[in-house]
Amino acid sequence: MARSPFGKIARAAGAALRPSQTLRWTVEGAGYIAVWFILLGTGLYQQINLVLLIAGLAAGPIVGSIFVSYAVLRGLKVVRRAPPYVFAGAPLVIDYVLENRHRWRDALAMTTVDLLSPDEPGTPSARELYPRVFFPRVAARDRLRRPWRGQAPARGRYRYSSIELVTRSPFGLRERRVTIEAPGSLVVYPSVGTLTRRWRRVFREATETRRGRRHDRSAQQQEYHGLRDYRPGDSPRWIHWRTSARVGQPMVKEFEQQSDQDLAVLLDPWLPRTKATAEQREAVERAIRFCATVCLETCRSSGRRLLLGWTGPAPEVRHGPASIRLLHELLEELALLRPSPEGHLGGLLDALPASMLRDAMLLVVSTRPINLAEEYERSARLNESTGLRLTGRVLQLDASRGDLDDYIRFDGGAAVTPTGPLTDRAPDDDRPLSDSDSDSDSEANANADTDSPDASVPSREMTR
Amino acid sequence: MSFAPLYRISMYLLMFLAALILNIDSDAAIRVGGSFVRYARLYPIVMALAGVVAYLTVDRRRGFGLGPGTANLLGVASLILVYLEYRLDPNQLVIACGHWLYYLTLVKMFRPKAPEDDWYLIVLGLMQVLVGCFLSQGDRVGLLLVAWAILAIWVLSLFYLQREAMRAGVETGPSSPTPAAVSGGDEPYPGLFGLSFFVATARAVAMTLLLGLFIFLIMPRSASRAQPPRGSLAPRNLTGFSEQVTLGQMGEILENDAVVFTAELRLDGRRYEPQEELLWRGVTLSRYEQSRWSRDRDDVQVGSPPASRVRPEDLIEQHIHMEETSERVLFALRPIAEIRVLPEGLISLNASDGTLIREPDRRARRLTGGPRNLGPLDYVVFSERTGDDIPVQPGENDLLAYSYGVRKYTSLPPDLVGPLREISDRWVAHLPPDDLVARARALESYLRDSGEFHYTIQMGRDDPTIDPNLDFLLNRRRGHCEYFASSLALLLRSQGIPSRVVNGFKGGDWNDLAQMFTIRQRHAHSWVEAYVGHTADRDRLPIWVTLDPTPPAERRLQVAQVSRMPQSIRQVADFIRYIWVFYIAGFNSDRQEQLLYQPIRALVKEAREGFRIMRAALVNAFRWMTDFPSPTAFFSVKGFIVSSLVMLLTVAASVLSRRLWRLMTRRLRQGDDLADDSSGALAAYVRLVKVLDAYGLQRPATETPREFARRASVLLGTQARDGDGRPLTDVPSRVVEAFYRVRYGALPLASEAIAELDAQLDALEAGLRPAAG
Repeated sequence: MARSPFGKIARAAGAALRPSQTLRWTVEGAGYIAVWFILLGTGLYQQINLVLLIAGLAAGPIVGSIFVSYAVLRGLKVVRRAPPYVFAGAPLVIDYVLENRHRWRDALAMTTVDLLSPDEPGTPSARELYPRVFFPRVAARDRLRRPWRGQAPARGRYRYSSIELVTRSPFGLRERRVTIEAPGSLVVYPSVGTLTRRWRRVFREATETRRGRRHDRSAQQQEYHGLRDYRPGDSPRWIHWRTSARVGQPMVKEFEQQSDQDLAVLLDPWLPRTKATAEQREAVERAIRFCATVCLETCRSSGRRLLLGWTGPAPEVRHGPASIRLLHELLEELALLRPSPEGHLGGLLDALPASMLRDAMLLVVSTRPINLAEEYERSARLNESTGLRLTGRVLQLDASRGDLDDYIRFDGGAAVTPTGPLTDRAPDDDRPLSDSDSDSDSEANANADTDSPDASVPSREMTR
Repeated sequence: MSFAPLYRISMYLLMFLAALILNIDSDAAIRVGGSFVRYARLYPIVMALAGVVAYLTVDRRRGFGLGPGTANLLGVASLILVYLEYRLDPNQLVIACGHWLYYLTLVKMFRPKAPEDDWYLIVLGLMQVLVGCFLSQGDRVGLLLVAWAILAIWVLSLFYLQREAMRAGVETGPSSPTPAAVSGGDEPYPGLFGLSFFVATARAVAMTLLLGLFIFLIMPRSASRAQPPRGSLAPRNLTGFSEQVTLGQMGEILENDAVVFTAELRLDGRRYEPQEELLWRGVTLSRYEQSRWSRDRDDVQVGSPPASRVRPEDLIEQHIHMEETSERVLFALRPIAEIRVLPEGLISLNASDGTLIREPDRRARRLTGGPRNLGPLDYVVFSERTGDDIPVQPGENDLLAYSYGVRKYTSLPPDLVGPLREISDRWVAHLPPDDLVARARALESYLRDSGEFHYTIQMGRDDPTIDPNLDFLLNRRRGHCEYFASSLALLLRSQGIPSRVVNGFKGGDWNDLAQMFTIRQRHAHSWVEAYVGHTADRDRLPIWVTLDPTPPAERRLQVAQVSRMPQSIRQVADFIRYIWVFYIAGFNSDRQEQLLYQPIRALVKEAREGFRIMRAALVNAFRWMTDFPSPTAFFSVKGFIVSSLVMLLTVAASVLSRRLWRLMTRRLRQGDDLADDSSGALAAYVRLVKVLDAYGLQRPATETPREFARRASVLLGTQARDGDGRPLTDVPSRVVEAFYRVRYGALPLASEAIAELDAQLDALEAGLRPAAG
């Protein structure tokens, strides 16, 4: 968006030159005008004034439509209220509010047509959506809110550009559309599924195995939890002096010990450069959905650090303490992730932070068979011996072989929506997620975030 | 009021009006038991009944209605009816075709209806109206047409709403083919039928009709042509103007208020209102036998009289619109100098008696049960403006120079010669035999001014055994104009003065608004023309003196009594009728030129002249303002004025530029503003501020939104309550909390949360709104 004065002037000039309203014939109008021409021809040829009168009166609605539709649209305002994100295949609800600022005239049979077009499509199957909402009647000096309910498209970033307010008033012969600039965006996260009992068991076993080897975590690995009254024995360093001064008694900061093991999800969305089969594409999507589900499950509770890395021409990594904010960032990255024939796991391992490489459990999700030993060889930071130490912490899954089938279910198909942190619901280990949990995505998300106000902003690293 | 029934009833009403327009002036009749029954009049009634039945069955109950096969079968079967109707009377082919449209409409009405079926119904109705307009262009059709047009616009607007609701999946009635998909109950537009809807519809209808009329007026027109006969019956019976008139026959129409023709008079290009009562000449009757007057049709017919020698400014221009009639006689002022009609030759002037006849070569055909309608006719007649002189009809042959001509105008039944001579001698004996004019005037005065004879339209005879004229002159002494005229003509003949009776109209209703005459049947009149010699020039044109023996005051009183309408209402009604007759039904290129193009040309000419003057003034002013011979001359009063003006212009230009810039930047920001507005909590907060501001609570800059919300909650207390009576004290706090989360936490709210906030704000707004009264 142009921010410079020249850019603004150019935009304003462009907006001024571009017609904001269009007038076109409807199908009924085309038939009507055909009949009208017949009437006119008959009247002129026969010079029968009554036929000409009918033709003249019949022309009234055609010409009148031009003025009336203009007047009808003049006092109207449309506002879109859309969620900033949604899971692919989940119900998408967009609210449109039509405000009629006219003093006495009702707005009748108005339609808004929106356009949601892929801006950065995550998959080639990303398509345009045309949310269309009908407003039967908006009384004068009133407004009406109508939702559009549809299904979220494939993952990716979508952009709203403008809303068209359409009327065929007063006779349905001419259609006038006024274009209202209303830019906005929507990120469609990958759809998520339900992790199976087997995944939980495998993951728990791996974590417990590693927990015995964890020791003396530093203070940085303790999470700030809140404030409480001072108790004898508390370290003076924990006293929060500002709050103590305000309330008149010593208050100490309370920390939550991180007891869970860190998790690094390493995704290798490989796809051949040419002649990729449908199965291979599907494997990529399944891998991405699996990673999204794992991230979601991991962020259900704070206490561990989470890392998401993916291969590609330039391997990239996002990590931070598990939190809603991190989850959104990771899901957004997964939404925009495009498969690549380039890159390898070794390069991605080089991009991992040292702490994660040292302690975290590594979940490698690929779409091709991977030989870990070869990847260690490719890595600049690992050699065979250090690589062997990693091996015990690596869980490797190949989506192209169907490895994921044991760990995740997409029972609800594309309509499965997440619960957990996004809905602020307590984790329930073995209960599969159901469709009934799909309500109140964004609201629940906001509640969860309120409970952890100090969720730190995840660091961004990029390794080339 | 529910939408679906109103729409469907309006649609059927439209169909009924279309059927009425098609059949109202139709003379289609069938012979039943020796008398003719006009079956076409039953069609609208059947349509109305069918509409009621279709509404109660097909449109109210799903599953009712004709199937496609049955409907197709009925459609084909209706062709048989059309054929039968055509066989009954081949002249009724057009109305039979119209009836086929009618049958198809009926079939469609009993089918389950989708929007395309309604389109078919509307088009079928339109076709019926067109056929109706072909058949008749009478007043009733015109009135119905206007009503149909208004109703059609109303139906179109309802039809549009119905289509839009169906597109959106809203159920609009039992006949709707699509199931309900959107909530909203059965009513697609709840609360639609309020004052605002009717006002808006009335405005749209008015605008549409005005636009339609304007388009009608600017459509290209050809010159006025005679309307071809449509085959329907003459709408009104005009007796007394045929080839043969029985004495007293005219009395039938003297009690009738129907319009015969409308006339605009122009003198020297301007509207003209004559002070005297005009005599609109019609049929001239010369033979009297067995109480009947008849025309001599053997005379020479000419298209138009020879070129008048009168100056054009002395010619009265008569634009006459003749209503539909079965009589061929046309009316105009005598003496006629020129006749204009299209196609040329349609009207002939009888060279002997001056009667104007329409289509003299065609014989009036009689169709089933009545005389043939010749259709309306527009024609223009130029007549000489006569003073007190005896008018001479140019082109009229002086056939009286020949013996057989004289005999025709002086012949009397032998049994009448004696009694009539006896009566007339008493009044003309003292006058010189050569002074025909004086003798004729004396006899006229006897009947008109003597007080022995009185005007009445009550018919009756005292002695049926004698001639009605003798009975009138000797016994009854009361009668209408026909008796006066007939008696005078016979009295003149008894004195050897050639004479003839003229049946026409006298006077008319002058309309101040339209500046024209409306001549009705009650204005019918008879008078006498007496031959008093010929002109002395080479043309030897006959001189006929006009004699009107009817007492004028008594006749005027009687004519006024026949009028049933108050004068003021009649003025308005005639004006509307005039607009219809001349500017709608009879609108032609001449009137288009007069109504539109001449004023536009005059306006353009005046505007051009005005602009030329303004431009010259501006150029002069600019020259004066820039004329400074030396720099010191600038420091003067003139320099002060010029510099002030320049400064004012500069300020105005800068203000305009600033406004333009603001306008551009506002449009520029619109997208961003709306983008911010996509967050419901922000919008809700802005709305909260507005609501509280309207209530009188403003947030100072030193107050945070949260503090403002707290203060608002305290001030609101329990004053604002929702519909259930619960206080809305915490609404500001909730909105502000949501606002904080969105604005500072970058976390959007779910649509449900936004909806809840909006609902609470709605309740707050409603709660804070001052109660009415």
